Amino acid sequence: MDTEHEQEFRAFVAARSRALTATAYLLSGDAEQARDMVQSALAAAWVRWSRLNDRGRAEAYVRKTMYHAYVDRTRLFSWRRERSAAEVPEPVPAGADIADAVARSHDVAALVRRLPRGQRAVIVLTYYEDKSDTESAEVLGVSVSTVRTQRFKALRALRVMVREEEDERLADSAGREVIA
Amino acid sequence: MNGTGPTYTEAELHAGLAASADEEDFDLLLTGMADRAMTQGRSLARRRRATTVGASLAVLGLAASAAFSLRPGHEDDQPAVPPPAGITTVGATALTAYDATCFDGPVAQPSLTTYVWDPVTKQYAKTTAGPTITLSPDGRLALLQTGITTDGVTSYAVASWPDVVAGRVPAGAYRQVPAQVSLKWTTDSTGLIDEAAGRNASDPSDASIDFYNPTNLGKTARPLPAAVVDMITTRHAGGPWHVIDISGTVVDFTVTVVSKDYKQLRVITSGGQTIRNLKLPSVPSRLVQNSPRLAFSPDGRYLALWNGSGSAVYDLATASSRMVFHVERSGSADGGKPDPQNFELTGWTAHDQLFGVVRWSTSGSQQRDVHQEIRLLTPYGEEVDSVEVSVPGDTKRVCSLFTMTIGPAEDFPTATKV
Repeated sequence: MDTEHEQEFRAFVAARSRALTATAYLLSGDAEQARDMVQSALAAAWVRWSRLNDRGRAEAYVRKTMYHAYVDRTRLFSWRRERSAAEVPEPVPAGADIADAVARSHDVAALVRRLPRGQRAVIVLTYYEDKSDTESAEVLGVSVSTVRTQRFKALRALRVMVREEEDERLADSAGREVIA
Repeated sequence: MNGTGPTYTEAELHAGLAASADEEDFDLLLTGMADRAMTQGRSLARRRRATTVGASLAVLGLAASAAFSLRPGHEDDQPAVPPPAGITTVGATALTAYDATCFDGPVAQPSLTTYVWDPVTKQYAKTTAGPTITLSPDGRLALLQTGITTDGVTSYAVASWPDVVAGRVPAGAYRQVPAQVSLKWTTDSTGLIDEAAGRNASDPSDASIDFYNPTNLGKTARPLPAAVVDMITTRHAGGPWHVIDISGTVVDFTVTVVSKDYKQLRVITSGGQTIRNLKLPSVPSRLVQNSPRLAFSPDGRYLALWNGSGSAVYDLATASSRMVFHVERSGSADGGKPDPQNFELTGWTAHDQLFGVVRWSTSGSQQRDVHQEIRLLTPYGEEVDSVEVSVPGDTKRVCSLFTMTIGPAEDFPTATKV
């Protein structure tokens, strides 16, 4: 790799690494795991940097690599080991303000992190990255119908989570639902 | 949450996810990201070309014919260990040569059949009385070793892969050396190291490492670092340590020395600097008793120890090393299905991928088939990928399978991959 390529790569990382890490964080729920995911995807991009003629495609390549490594169950890496403590909403302490408890238990990101990997990826692509079904399918390497099915299941699961938590913790209040 | 009722809208989902991402301060984590990614990328590129792993396979006594079929199927001076990188190399390793040793009946006269991958015919070419083959890390050359004669001599040669496949390596290309010489490739594929150096360093004459030029097998001796010599002599306090591994290049190599109980290891550079000083919490006794081999994962995070009786992998990233994977071979391979307990480790193909085999047999009324499954595992023992090699059996012959060498799949794109 020559100096020009290196400068381009550094500029790309400086410009996009935060956004990439934010996406990885929503997928993994852990900042350090997110960093490792992004770093690994960037490393793969650096290997083929000289062949990524259209630099506009570099981010697409990195994102695709990241999502694939995240979703593909055959790729078992230690950074993908779930940290369950980070994913289970904390119990509501006795005497805590009920409004805070509602906010915590219904925290969108916390609920999304409880979804299976494939569904979580579709939710992040759809509602964080604003990707269309076609674009999400392309990133994940699956069909559009699979994306729609995964999103349907994810939303249904989110709805169930909300209901369960509210049944348990807010038995006297009206339940909330995720998008119908 | 929308204002009309108990429903999250799409906008609220978006806002909730964005808020969650915005809450985190990634700035510290991102410092040096470009440098780390480029370093990791360079390492990845090297590994893609450097997946040669020496094979170690134990013998199974099973009836078989010679016809094969392939079914694709710590201490304070510890340096910082980089985080594991989540890049898979599944499919990056090609099975380039394997062999079968068969005994015809009770007469212990083995017939050796070697199968080497021919990129032209896209088949494994069958040869007899072939040497042991080890591909160079860059996949371009092969180190050949003949058997050991009764007077304690072995011979080595280096040849291109096409010449190996075509049987065009002349007898004159081989150089005879004492049988205790054990050559392996340097990591840059430009030389050969006698990894037996230092194994008998109580003898001052053994206090050097021999490197060989692959083009003419000319020998160059370099001294063992004084720090290594001090540790492996009988004068060393607490008893002598011994050399377990020598790796690197002619210019820049490391020597790994280990205490008698294998609970302490030091990696010492050719310049005499100790770059790793490790304490292992426990080492299975069956490993200690049978001279295990040792290999660090390419990124230095994990350490694997193995021999014919089992394997152990240690995670060195934590403050105190911990064993994350351990198998002791059960000894029986007749269960009719692969037993993960019989995993035989042979090395690393990536920072987080172990390479090895599991073998077993299946029995019919007239024959016993031999199977060998080449497996990639995570350092924690989870299977990443596998490919099976099987041998149809018969009632007369007893065969054993050996995976001889593997290479970069990009150089052997049509060979069986794992």
